[in-house]
Amino acid sequence: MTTSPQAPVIEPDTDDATDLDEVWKVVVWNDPVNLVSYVALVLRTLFGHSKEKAMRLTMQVHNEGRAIVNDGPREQAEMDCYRLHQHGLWATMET
Amino acid sequence: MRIDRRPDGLHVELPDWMIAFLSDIPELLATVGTGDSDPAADRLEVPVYLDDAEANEDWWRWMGGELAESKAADRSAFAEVLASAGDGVDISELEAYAMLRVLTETRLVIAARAGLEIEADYETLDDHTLAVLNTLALLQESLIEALSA
Repeated sequence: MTTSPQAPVIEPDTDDATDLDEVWKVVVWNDPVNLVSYVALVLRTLFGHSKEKAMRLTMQVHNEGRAIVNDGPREQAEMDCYRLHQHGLWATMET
Repeated sequence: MRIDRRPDGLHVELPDWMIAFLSDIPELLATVGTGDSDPAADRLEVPVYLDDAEANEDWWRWMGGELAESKAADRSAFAEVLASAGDGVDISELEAYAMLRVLTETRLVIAARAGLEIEADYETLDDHTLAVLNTLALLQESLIEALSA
């Protein structure tokens, strides 16, 4: 039985791989001004959430101060934040 | 005030007093960030990255200009709707969302300048500010209800 010659092992650049594969969470924060009905409508419109899910997330924002409303690659999360800010909601992103 | 759902948008009819009241909004929003220190500007430019100042700065550098252009377009759409809303006007869903965004921005600006940071702060607002916020909210609710119908 023979074995294949050992191929050189190339260590993956884990930093880059992590960055590309990393899932970013988009967080909406509570504020005392935006209406519950408005936040729910925005979440439905931007992310296609069902009426029930949008309202559940909105109430989570209202009661707990924040909620994760979407996740995905960094570029998508940055664009989500843009669209939420465009609608007057305070959105941040985190891993 | 009358706001009804139509197959491809909304029908909006506003009383003269409300049109006069809303007509001041573009001028109000144009003042955001023009002074040395404006809590309204701080509220509208909140950080996107909480723990990374450099990434946050980059985000605002790339997105800030586009955001400002988008808001300016919303204000133009808002003004156009107002100009015809006295007699009643049919508007698209896109125009309805532009109106909602302008109303939201206006309430955020007024609230920030009035020092409203938490729910309890509503008790500290003067009657005029509270009435303005509530009137804008009433119009928002009517638009949302019609859009959701």
